[in-house]
Amino acid sequence: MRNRPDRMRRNGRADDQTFGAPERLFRRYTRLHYINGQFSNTGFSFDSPPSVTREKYSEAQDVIFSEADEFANWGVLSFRVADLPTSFPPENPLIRFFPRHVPMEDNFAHSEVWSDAIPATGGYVKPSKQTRKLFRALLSQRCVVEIIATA
Amino acid sequence: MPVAEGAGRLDAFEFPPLAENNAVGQAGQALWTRVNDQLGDSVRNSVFWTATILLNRAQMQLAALASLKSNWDTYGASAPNQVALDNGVRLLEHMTPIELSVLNIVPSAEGGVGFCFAVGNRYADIESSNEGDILGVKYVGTDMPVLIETDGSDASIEAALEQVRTHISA
Repeated sequence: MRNRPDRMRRNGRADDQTFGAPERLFRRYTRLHYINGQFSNTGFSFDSPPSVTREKYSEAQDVIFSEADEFANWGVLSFRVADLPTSFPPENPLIRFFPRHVPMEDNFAHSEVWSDAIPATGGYVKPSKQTRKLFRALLSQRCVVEIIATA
Repeated sequence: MPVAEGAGRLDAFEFPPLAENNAVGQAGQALWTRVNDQLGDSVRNSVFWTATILLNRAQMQLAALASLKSNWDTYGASAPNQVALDNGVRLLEHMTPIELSVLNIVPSAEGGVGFCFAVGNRYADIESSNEGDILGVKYVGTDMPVLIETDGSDASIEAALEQVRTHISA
């Protein structure tokens, strides 16, 4: 059994909705979706707000931490807050994407990528399948591998 | 994905082995080697066999996805369902050896199957979703991605694959 790093525990801390543009957002990936040096957007889902782990309160390896070591062979990729378009798609902006800090007791850095309509509703608005597909592809072009997957 | 060792490979064909205690000894072994090499050449040089083997490999990769369980991506993704797999079979039936030779079949985190093509800095894919949609994308490097849309008909699938073919061959 491995020990969870203290930085991952919430320990009564309040959520922090201030994200800097250069801040990285981490996510697990499997080698299947890394094809000839390119990450396939089929490895991303925006069917609901996807979970990420924010750099401000974590390190890349925290994403594959588990007491039971169940993510041992997974990789970690990142994209930056600045990579989330604030108006999308460019030619007919309908949606904006933004990070939201959703801390968990055992993972304070846990966050989600949300989307809202333009003009804003203040809630979560699910993009159309076409918009999601374009956005997933855009993000896959910009993501960077932090830890290489071996499975 | 679990795929049988050697299955679907162009070099997986082999002439039936000769018994060790055969009556003609070294001559038999030499004949076996020559015939086996000729069989290999015939398969590799045959458009028909190349296409058949590539299609067979792709069908096995697709079939292997049927055994995936939900949450395979650890973020709660659905496993590909029968709708996505059946449309996947239709997609494969429209592919030529050009696409099949660079095809990667992967589960889609949005639920379904992704048919992905990455050559140099060119990328394209077509996703067959659990809801029955067939939708793709193509791009070069960091250029703005372009949608590849279908209405699910055979004609639109053929048109989408023609876009992929042109894109990855450019």
